[in-house]
Amino acid sequence: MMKKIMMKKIRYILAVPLFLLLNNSFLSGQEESHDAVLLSLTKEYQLNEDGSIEYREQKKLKLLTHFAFHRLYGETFIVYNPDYEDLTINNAFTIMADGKKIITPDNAFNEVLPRFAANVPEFNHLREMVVTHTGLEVGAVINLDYTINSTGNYYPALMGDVVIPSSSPIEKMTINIRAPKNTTLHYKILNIRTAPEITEENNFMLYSWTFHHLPARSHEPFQTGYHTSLPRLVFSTAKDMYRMLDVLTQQDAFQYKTNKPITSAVEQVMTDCKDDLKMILKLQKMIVDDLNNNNIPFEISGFHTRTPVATWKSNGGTELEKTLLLTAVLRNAGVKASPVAMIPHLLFEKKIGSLDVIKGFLVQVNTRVHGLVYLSAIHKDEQNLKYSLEGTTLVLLDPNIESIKTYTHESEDNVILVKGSLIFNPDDLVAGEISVELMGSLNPYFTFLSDKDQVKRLFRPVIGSNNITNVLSTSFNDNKSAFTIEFKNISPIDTQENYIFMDLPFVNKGINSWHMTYLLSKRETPLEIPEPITESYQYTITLPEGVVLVTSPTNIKIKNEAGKLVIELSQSENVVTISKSISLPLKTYKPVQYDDFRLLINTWNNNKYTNLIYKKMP
Amino acid sequence: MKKKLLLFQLVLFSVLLASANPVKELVAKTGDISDYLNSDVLVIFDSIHVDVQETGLSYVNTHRLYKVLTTNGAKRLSVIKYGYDPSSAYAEIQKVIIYRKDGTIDELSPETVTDYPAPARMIYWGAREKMIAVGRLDPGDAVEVFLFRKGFTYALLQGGDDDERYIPPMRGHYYDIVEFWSSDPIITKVYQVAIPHDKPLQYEFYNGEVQSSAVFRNNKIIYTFIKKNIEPYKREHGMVGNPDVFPKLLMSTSPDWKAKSLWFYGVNEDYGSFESTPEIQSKVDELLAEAENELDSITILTHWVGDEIRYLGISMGEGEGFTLHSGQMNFTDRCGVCKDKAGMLITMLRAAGFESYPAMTMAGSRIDYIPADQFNHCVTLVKLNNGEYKLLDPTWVPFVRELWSSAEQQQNYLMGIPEGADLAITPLSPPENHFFRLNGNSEIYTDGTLVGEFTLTAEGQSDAAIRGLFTRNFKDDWEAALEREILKVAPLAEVTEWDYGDPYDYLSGPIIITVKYRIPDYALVTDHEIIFQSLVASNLFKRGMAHLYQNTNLEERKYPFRDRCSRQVELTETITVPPGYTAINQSYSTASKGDYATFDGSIRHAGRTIDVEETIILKKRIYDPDDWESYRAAVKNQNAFADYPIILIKD
Repeated sequence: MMKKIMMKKIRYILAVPLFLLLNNSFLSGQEESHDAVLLSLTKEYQLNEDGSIEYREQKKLKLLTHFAFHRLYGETFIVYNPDYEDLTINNAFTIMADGKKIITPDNAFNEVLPRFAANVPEFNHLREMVVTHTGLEVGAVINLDYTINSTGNYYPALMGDVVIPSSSPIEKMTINIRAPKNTTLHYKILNIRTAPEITEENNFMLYSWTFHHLPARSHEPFQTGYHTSLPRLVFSTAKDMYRMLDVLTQQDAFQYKTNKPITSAVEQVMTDCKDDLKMILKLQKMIVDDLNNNNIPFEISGFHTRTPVATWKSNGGTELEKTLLLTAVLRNAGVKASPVAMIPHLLFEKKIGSLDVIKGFLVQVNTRVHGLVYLSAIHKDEQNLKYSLEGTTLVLLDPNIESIKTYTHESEDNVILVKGSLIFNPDDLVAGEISVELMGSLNPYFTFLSDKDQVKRLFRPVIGSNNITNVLSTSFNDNKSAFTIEFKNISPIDTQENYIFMDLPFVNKGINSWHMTYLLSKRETPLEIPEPITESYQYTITLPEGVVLVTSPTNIKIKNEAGKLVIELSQSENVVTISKSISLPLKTYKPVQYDDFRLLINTWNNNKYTNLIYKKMP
Repeated sequence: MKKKLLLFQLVLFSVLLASANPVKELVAKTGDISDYLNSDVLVIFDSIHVDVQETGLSYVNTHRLYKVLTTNGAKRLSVIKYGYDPSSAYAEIQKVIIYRKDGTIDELSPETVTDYPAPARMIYWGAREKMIAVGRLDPGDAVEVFLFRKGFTYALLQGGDDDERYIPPMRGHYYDIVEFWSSDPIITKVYQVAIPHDKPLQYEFYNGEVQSSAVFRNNKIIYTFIKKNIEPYKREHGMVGNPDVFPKLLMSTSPDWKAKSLWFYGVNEDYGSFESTPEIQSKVDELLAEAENELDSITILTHWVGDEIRYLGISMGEGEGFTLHSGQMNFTDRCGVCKDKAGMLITMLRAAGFESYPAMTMAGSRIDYIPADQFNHCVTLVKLNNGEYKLLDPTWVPFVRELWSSAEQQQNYLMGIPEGADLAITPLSPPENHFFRLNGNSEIYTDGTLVGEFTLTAEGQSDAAIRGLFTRNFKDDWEAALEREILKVAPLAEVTEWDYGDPYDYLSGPIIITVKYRIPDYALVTDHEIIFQSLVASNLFKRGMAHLYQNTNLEERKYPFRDRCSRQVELTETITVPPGYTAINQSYSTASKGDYATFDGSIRHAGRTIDVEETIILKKRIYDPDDWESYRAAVKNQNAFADYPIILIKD
């Protein structure tokens, strides 16, 4: 027994210095490789009995480089709505490297209009408090403590969607949520295993999460959308999501009332356009192009929305407002249309009623010929957006439904198939014929529907519109568009002595449009591509007498965790055949799959197989 | 005031006033999108009337009529905004009238005008905006706007008379810079200014012609400038700033630049901007403890201010905008805009025993000779032992190995010194002071692998461009940033070793980056050939060679153009080739020569080595259109070398 007690003591004694050691090593590690470290960060949320909400944030940020205070952390920006919220700065000071305390002076607190509200009369009452931290230098610690109190009628519930890591590492972070005892807090924590400590505190239940040694957010490109791979906390005191959506949709805007000018504009479009889908796209164009996009974050709007008529009259709207206006004009034209909210799968949970997880809005249109079509109200779409909604839950925004209705659309085949015969003429110019099939999200069906000449731009820059002599459509619908394109007079990109360098034509959609021309050797975060994809090219190139292919015959076949790739190049007499195909079946690749992914992309991009070299024999 | 405005309108728009609703008729008479292709908005008239008082205070009435040509124009005009600085100006949106295409006329209520703090970043001096919501418009609609402003761009915040705060700091004087260029077509632009007859006005119209007159009325001289049918300006890629080439009017009652210089000297001395404190003195003593000479001390202090006083403007209240913050304020806040950084350096230099003053300059465009305030930047002067003034710019040199940024060569400036000064211009900076030197050794193997190493070293502004890869980037992204520069030109490259020293230690010498690499599958290999490009020549670290971003498609230029700085690029690579191979071109060379831009390059094969050499010399920052031919040739030649395939044939 004595031994056991002794052991406990030893463990305790060992644990303290070990903790200190770990803590110090965390700090020294961060100081070597980062620009700053958040020594502590606390976010506290409190819902009061009267529905008012208090948010308090306290931070201590140590600056480690000049970049940290020249470019990153010299100011803190706090956006709030003075009509419903009060901001109080509880404390703001800097401890300089030598320990001197610099109280942030009065002239360092400046209110400005948030940039996103710059041209929006309806939101020029918003304010952004800019706290300029003074006395900054390497080794200084910024201290800031502020509170925002919201009135009871601003937010329908206490809710949030907090991405936990910051752009610098965090030594200790605490999230406290207080809710009245009789209110249930629904929450879920993602991508990190931390449970809250739940205690009773006066008339509140306190849910407290503490995180230690959080690494900084990565700066890698092609990370998952909405940071869904990062640790985050989603919470709400609402009974469930249905209740919150009900609050949202009970606003007048969801009655879709229109006025005479709107009706006249719709009638004008209907008169000009008899085809259903074309008319729908014209109405979308009218809302997208003719009204300003007011990029006000949804939560900053207090989840309030103006009516379609008010949006129309002001000539601009938020994403939700324009979505409702597009819905209204479509309904006015006799089209079945409803707004839907976009929520990443990972963040959606029916029992957690947080409107903060809504990341956008679309209009769902039920068409006779094309079934469900999804349209944006803030940008024109090349294709029905249902092909690009993998990973997203669409929630119907209908004031009349009694339970939540959701839609999901898994990725369909996104394919580019190209076959072509190229004839290399004795004058070094290339002519030929290419048949191309575009499927799924890679089929810019809506673009072609509006302007068939856009087909001529598919193979730019190698084949320009002026080189195209004929285009024949062989299939044209939202699932697949297929064309045969005839062209002539393609010039080589370079010649040297008797060597000729010629680019092969590739579709500028798909992988080409990702601008993924190189990939770093290391990867820490999951990599997300715009869509799973299959691209395939088969060309035969007929060479004139006396011209031979210099590029060596090739037969590359790779199949790995990330996908597969085939590149075959051969020459038989005067005909060169090249086949290139790649298949990347996943939208997101884990770090362990990165090397495989990189191999496929690097091989696909290899200039040897996009730029062929020929030689004129003497 | 109202009477004068009425008179002004009577004179200028008498024809219009004769009609029942002249504006409505005018709108109907003017063209539409078919007459103004590629424009969204037509400005039917833009009339500005300025009434200058004895004190220099000005009342400005603006009367403008826009016609919507496209839905984009309708979106643009859905709000009318008017920015002002309340510490020096009062502004009003007095009236907005909408003339709809269907004939209806809506006058917006002035009560709907909102007033709010303007969006801001970096400078928080309390600028505000007034806004009125116009709402939905359609092509063919027109918007008539009446604006009123009194005040100045900046002014002393004095008490007393209500208008006192709006009187310009050079009391009694008036100046203005009036743009007669526009991105929208303008049918008629009128600028009229009434100035007390005893204030002589100097003016000049630049880069074009204008109809002008001066008439005497009620003890004032009324100057009127009218320009009709102003077409939207068209910029050329990389050209100089708009004020340098497009029509503008400059006017000033200030007699000359010397008067401005003396005023600028006095206003800061009177305020006491450069008074030291024991804390500042202590810091200066600490910093200069080991300084060995005059230049040493200047260097240490300039870079301390550059690095430790970050660029960020908070207001000092009275005098903000043209008065340099006190040394004490800057030292405590550790932040300020250019004038405050300049002021901090002056304070420290004076504390160290130097004679030092501020100077004003214009970054981005030329200062023309009429002494109107064409300044947007403030720097420091120090008097050397030999009696010469030396320019220092603590704003533009954080982590830059210069005291005066050569990105500001060929730039006008005005010294604020006790004896007064005339307008001056900064000299050219020799290109060798900004060398970009990339030397490589590599070996190409018969399996197509390229193995080698290179060393990049750069000085001056070229050093700053390369060093910025680190000092203007997240520290945990430094290695990735370096790798990106290499992968951009060789995606398959494997960096086996690198060394970039401590990028923050910029004073110890030019940046040196050494990289060892291996690039499998770099060359195209056949049974008879090996085909590849020189890695060093392939525009590696392009960020250090700003000229490569110039668009060379333009055959000729109408306007002067600019680079970031003068520059000398030296690229060399020695490539060892496998035995038994010979380059198809044993020697390839190109040269182009101009007064200010030259290129000299060669690729030579001898034995088992191929030597690649390129030198590009660019001698200026601002170039004349005539320089384009040689500048363009230099850029095109360098790009041609980057793409040049080295073809080795098996013997």
